[in-house]
Amino acid sequence: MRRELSGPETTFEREVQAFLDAHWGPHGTAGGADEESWRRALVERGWSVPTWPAAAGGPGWSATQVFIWRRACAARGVVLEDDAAVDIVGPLLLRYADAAQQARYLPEIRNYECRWCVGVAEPESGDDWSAMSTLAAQCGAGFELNGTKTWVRDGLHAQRMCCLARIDSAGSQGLFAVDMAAPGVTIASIATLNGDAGMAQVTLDAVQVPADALFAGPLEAGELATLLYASESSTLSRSAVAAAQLDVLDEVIETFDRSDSIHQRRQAVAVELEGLKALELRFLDARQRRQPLPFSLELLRLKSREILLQLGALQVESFGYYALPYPDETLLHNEGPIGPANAAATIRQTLTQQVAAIYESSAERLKDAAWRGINTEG
Amino acid sequence: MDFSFTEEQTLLEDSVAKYMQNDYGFDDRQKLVKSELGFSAANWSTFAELGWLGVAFAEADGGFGGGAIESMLMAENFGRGLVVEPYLATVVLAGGAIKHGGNADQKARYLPGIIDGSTQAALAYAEPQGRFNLSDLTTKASKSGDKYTLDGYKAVVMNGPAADLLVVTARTSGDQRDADGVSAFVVDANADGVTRRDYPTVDGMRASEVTLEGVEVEADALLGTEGQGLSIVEQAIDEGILAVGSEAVGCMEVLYKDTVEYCKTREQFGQPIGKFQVLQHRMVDMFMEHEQSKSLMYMAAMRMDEGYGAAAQKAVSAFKVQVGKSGRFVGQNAVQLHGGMGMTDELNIGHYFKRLTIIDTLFGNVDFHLKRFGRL
Repeated sequence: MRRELSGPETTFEREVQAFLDAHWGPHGTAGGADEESWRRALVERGWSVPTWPAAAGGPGWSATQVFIWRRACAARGVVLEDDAAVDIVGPLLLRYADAAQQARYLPEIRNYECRWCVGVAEPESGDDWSAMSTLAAQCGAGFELNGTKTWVRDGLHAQRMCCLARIDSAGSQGLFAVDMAAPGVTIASIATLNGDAGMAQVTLDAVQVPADALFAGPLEAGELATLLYASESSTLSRSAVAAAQLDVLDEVIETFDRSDSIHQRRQAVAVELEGLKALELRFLDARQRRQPLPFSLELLRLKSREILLQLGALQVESFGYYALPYPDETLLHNEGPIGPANAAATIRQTLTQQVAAIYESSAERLKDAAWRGINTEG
Repeated sequence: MDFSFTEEQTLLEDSVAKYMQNDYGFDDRQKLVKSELGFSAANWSTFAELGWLGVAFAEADGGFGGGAIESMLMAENFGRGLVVEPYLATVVLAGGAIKHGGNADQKARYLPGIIDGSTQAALAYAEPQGRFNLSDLTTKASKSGDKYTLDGYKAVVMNGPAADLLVVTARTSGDQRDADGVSAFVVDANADGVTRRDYPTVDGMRASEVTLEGVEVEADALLGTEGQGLSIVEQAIDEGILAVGSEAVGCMEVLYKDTVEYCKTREQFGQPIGKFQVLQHRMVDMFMEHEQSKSLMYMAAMRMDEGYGAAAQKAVSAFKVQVGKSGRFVGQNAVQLHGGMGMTDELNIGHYFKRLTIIDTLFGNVDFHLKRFGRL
């Protein structure tokens, strides 16, 4: 047993750090290349789609290399939320789509030329996938889609939607690539509590798609739940995100709240975080050695959200009154920060954490899934 | 990064696991708890024959040169079997102090007996007023000529009743809580002036209150340098934490698995109670606590094997915090989900619960190690 990275992995980590130095910003700074040049650098280096195999235009990294990459990014505050196209749709295309579909969709995702969103939830079906009613009916050589998708992240900006729909009366489902500009697609903005603009409700009213828009299916209801809610690689790097949040908390505590009580609770979360790191490494190690997984991914999702939410709550608490100001970007830009420089961003991040926890479905559904994992063991 | 075990480690684990499964039944264990000695001398000889008592010692000292990983694997399985034989007291604590502090002569004098199973030992480190502070000592050792004279009182000495040897901490200089001035001595448990009051413990083991009145020992009973004994004991205690923590991980595994099995078969309200979502989610929480503890166990063991220092101590404290919290949660819920049966003396569940409760207290509880984790 050993914790350290192997020689080649250490070399790789240095390469990653050098890349981040050059294109994101020196270690220990807030970072902040503009999004455009950052993305261009990623594409040019061939690192735009970290989890993809080389044959599909990815870097062909091992699970550990992806982990090293995400950990290094998290430490510098590079946003690590799943990119729908890169992290969710790409792997699904690689797994299910035929060669022609892959040739059509993968390169534009790899080159960041096409943004995707994922349409799963519906007004009458949140986590209950068998209750989904969006229907793709055979229509000439293609399909006609009718239904409503909601809580679609980035729905306002995406050019394409990966849309889950029923494809027969038996309840089988399929994934469709739907052009967001197609006739019959209506997009309505949904404001979220973290002030993030981009979430949408998408209505499909007799939307015509060609036969080859269907790239996965027939699938059983719920079959893809684990893959569609969040990617494995982002789940496996949550401890790195949490570690960065712990650093922020330490700064806040140092300035605003040196009470014994906050210190004690800080230590308690820090121990939890050590546990999460160790859980991630065990999962990764099993993946790497092709051993049976010691526990399901849901367990990591439950644990990491718990820790991130605790950290957020402690941050807010230790800001005291300066947890209140909620200036928008323009006000911040024109008049400067109110109170501590990082307060507004920290509070917003905390709210985002709360929103993100819902993206990958309720804790209760995750526990249902984890229970199925335990129950089949014996 | 690689979390796999070597072939030797796998063989060792298999050998302990098999013994626990085939030769260490719960009913037999309960008979041992009620016996005069409190454990089985025959089992102890077998442990020695199988080489387990020598795993933790260097080959030069007659052992097998195992490290923290080996100790962890053995202890985890001892936890599954709820072993009452005094491996922790004799090998890990007293043996550990001699291993870390003893010179070649002392190791040659004491370790062979521990390794071949003929010597029982105990570490007498705690005192009533000191709680978990290893340097808070009122027991004193004063030197005159070639001898030290020990006077004082040692609390809850695990395996005290069976011990032939006691490793005793005493103050040779400084104030009551100073880190400097702590010395460790090997004392014959039957020496003049040593009085033991023996008793059973909550978790089915044995311990003693030990009074030392004018106990004379030769100068070569001192382990290491006079006044510098704290680090010796601290290291032995940290290894003890890794061992009892690993035991707790083994206990938790049995508890959650037994609970899942029980909930699948126990019918109430016309169905197995495992069909109720509220119980399923509780069992997921138990599973999660166990896995988190196990993960920190691996990290602590690997850190200890990388070298003893602040990083290892910090990892050990994190592990102990987790084990304290998780052990309580898993223990309480296993009893709860077993209902009436869970609270009986007849079923194993309550006995695992008691061991977990004691493990939280041993060597410092959650609060103590949370503070230590924060300091390091």
